[in-house]
Amino acid sequence: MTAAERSDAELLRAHAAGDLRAFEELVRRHRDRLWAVALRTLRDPEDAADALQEALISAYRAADSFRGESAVTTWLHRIVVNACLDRIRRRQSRPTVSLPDAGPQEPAEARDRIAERDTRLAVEDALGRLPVEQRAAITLVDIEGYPVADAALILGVAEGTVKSRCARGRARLAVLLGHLRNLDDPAAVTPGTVGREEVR
Amino acid sequence: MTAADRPSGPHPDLDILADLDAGVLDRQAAGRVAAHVAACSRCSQVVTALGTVRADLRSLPTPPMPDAVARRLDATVAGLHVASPPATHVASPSAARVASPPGAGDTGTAAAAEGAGQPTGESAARQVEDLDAARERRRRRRLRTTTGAVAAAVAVLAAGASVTALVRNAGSHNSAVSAGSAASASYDGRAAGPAKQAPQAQPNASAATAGIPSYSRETLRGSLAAIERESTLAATSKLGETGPAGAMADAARRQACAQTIVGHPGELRAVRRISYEGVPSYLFVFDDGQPHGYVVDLQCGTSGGLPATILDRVP
Repeated sequence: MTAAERSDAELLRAHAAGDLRAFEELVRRHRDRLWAVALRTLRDPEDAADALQEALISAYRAADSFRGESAVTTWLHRIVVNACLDRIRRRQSRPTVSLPDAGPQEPAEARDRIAERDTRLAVEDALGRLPVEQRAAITLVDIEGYPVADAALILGVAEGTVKSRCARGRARLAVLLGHLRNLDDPAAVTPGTVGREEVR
Repeated sequence: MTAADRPSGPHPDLDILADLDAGVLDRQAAGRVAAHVAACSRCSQVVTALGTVRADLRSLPTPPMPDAVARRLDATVAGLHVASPPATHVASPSAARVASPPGAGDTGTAAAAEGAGQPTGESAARQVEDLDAARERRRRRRLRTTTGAVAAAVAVLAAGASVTALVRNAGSHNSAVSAGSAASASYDGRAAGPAKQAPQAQPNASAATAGIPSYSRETLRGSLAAIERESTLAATSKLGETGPAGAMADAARRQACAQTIVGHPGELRAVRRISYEGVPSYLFVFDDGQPHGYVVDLQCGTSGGLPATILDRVP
């Protein structure tokens, strides 16, 4: 039971010192959240499992480079998110494999259909239509509840960029989920740059 | 119509309202847009809708990890214990030293670490990642990989992988070899397939270029092999910060960055300060029988151990 009482940082140090159980305990403690982030970022269970595996191998190997300047969870999430984004980049560089998320425009009837579904499914579906950078930011901040500062560390971008990606993503979700259909003056809602993906 | 119903100016577009909602706007713009929203029922409905979106997102449950995935990850970690037990990380004192804050260690220490770190558990772990790449290729052929196959392949790679190239490279760092030899001995001395033979780096120090070379994804792909040939790590170190490797000529910095490039295969062969698609960056070339280029941001190695921001990888 002692393993359950150790902090994340203690577990990581114990792992670096040769404790074979410590890394497993650390993974067990956080794997559901890491899984949720990987799954929501990649939108494909098999891809998410691959990315998570790759990330854990990296974390296992890089444990002694952790310097305690951030929380272990932030460190782990960053490794996982990087593995996911890297996977998406590779997917994009292969023209034969298409991204699961659609482009910025989809037919009106698709939007209506999404709005009519069960809210949770509709939200998950709409999330899948966001550009991946927006989806990753929203997953961390709005779904997982990370402070913007932590999400910025995890994503390796400025806090303002995280806020901006969340704003763009929420705007697009509001359209996709049909929340803007019954406005007094709906025609005036211009999606503007919604959906335009930032490219680092 | 009352004054409260009559907003000033046209409706801000949805993005601007979302920026207001997210706190992105500066004080002046926020004040202006907020004043409009306060006077405009249509725009306040939009802001309310954005709040509804946030509430929708908050209410999403965290999907539990499927048992099959959990078992697979457990098997992966168990495989790592075999291929690269955590104790090897501290078996080499220099590897442990790398964990100190950037700048705390001297260049000599890091140079030793560069040699010592790789022939220990890291080489085995990288082979595991090679495995992962191979596994992905298999997956694309629609063949499921079982956890048993992963564990078995880990064992095969750990036993059969050649670290000839690693040891050759570490040789220039003298004592580093002995630090890593205990771990590498069990991997070395096996026949290596031709694909694992790293190209011999040319001891050509001049590598380059007065200015900072500029690449696109396509031109970089075609240049990787030449960059690897021209820019040995020893050469870039000698040339210092004004050389082709920029600040990465410092072995401690280079090592700190390379350690955080998640998932790279093979060993580090060349580092270049480049402009990539117009973005100032560093190119790290690793080799596992063929060159792999990783383009990372200029801050690489200064993030306190957080994984590097990888701008792209080629091929």
